[in-house]
Amino acid sequence: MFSTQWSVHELAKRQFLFKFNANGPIFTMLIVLQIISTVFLSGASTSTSSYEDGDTLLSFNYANVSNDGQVGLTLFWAFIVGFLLTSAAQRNESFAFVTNRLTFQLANFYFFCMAALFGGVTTVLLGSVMKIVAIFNDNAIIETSGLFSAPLDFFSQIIAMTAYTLLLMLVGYTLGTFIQFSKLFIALFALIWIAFTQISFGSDSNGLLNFFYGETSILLFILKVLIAIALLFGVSFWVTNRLEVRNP
Amino acid sequence: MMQTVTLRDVTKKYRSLTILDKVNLDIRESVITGVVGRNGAGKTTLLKMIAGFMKESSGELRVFGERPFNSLSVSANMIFIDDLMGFPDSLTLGDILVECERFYANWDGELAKRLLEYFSLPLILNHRVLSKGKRSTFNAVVGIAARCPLTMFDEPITGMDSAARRDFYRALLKDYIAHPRTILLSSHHVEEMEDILEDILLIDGKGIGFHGPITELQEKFLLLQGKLEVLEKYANKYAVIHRSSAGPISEWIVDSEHTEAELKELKQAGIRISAVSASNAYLAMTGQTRGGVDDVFNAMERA
Repeated sequence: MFSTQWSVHELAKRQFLFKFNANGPIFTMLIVLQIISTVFLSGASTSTSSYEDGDTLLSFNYANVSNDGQVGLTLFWAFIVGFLLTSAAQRNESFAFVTNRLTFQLANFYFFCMAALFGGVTTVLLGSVMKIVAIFNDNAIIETSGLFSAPLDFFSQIIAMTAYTLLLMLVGYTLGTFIQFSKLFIALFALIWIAFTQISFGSDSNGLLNFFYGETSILLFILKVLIAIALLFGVSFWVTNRLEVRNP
Repeated sequence: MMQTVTLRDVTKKYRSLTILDKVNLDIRESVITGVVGRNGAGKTTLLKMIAGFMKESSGELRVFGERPFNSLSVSANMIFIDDLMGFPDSLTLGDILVECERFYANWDGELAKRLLEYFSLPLILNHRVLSKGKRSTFNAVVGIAARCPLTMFDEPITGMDSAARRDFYRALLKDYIAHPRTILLSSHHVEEMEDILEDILLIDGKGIGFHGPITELQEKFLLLQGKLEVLEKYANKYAVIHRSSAGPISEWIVDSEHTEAELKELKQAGIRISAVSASNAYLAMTGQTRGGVDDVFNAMERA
C-alpha cells in the first residue's frame, strides 16, 4: 500500500547527513573556542626551583605547558552540543522531513560520534600547537610524548579525548531530553548536581569521576565509557520515543 | 475505493481536556478534502495525529493501514505543511530543496524551482529572513512539489496576499490533476477553496460535524428571500439559522427539511428559494451566523 519504503538504517543515514549540513555552525563554534583558548591560555606557567648539592647551589626554571584549558573547553562545548540537539527547533527541523523517533535518535547519535571525533582529534592536536608556542615563547626543551616518539600514547590520547567528548555529549543530550519532556526535571537535576558535587569533589579519588578518571587501563576505560554511553542512549531514547513533536 | 485514513473511536486528550471525542472517519484515496471548523475545534490536532506527530489517547487510527505514530512508512509517504514548519537557519532555500530531494521519493525539484521563481523567492535567501506570507508560500511550494501520497496543509495561506492565495490553490489543483493524491487542506476561508474541494470535513464540538461532498453540505440549507412579513407568515415553521436584510428584502437561511408541497407553497407566496453557498452553509453549521458577539455587547448595554 505504500509507494515509498525506507529502511531505518538508510533513513538514519540521510537524517544524519541533513543534520551535518544544517549544523555547520556547531563546528565553527568549536574552532572559534579553540582559537580563543589557545590565544588566551597559551604560554607556560614557569616555576623556579633551587636546591643545594654539597656546596653549590643549583637553581633551575621549569615550565609546564598543558592544553588542559582546551580540554575543558572542548568538554564544555560537548555538553552544550548534546543539550542543543534536544531543542524543540532541532526536533521540528528533523520532523519537517521523513523520520520517526528511532531514526531521529540514531541520526543524533551518529552526529555526536562525528562531532566527538572532530573534537577529540583537534584538541589533542592543539597540544602540539601549544608546544610550538612554548618553544618560541620560552625557548624551552620539550619532554613529551608526541606522534613520533610515542605513537601509542598519542593515539590513546585521541581515543580518551574522543570518548570523554562523546560521553559529555550524551550526558547533555540525556539531560536535555528529560528537560524537554518536563521542565520539572531542571529542579531535580539541580538537586542531583548539588549532591554530586558534595560527594565527588569533597573527597578526591572516589566517586563517579574517579570511575572514569582513575582508570589506568585504556581497554577498561573504553569499556566503561561504552557502557555509560549505551545506558544514556537507552534512557534518552525511552523518553524521546514518547515525545509529541511539532507542537508550538 | 481505498481508504487512506481511517479513525475508529479515536479520542485525544490533553491533560484533563478532551479535544477530540470518539471520532470515526474515513478519508478516501485521491480526494481533496477541506478541513474546516472554528478556532480550537481540533483541526490541527486531528491532522497532527494523522501525521504521527501526536499520539492518539485511545481508539484506532490507521494511515495507509498502519498506525502513524513512529511509523517510518507513514512518514515517508506523507507531508505536513504548516506555518510552524521549521527549517535550519543555516540553510538557504536552495539548500532546503536539496534536502527535500534526499527525503521525498516523488520530489519534483524542477517544479519547486519554477514555482519559487514565479513567486519571486530567490534560492539564495534564508528561510528565517522571509516574511510571513513568503514563508507560507515557500512551505506550500514544498508541499506541492513533494507529491506525497498523503499531503496535508494546515492553514497554508496564513499571511499570503490574495494573489498568492489564488495562485497557490490553482497550482495545487493543477498538480493534483496531473498527479492525483489524497490532500487534506485546512483553512477558515471556505469561499476561497470551495472550487477545488471535493469533500468537506467539518470539525465541531469535539467530533465530526459533517463529512461528505461539498454539495451535500449546501443541500442541508435553503436560502429564502422575500418580504419580511411574508417570510414570517410562511416560513416560520423552519429552524431559522440566519436572518439578514437588505432594503425591503429579507434573507433567511433555514434548515432544509421540507416537502415538495411546502416548497410550492413558499414559491406561491412570492418567496425566492435558492441554494446557499458552501461558505454560508459552513458558517451556518458552526453557528457563526448568529451574531453571538453582538449579544454580548447588547447585554452589557442593557445592564
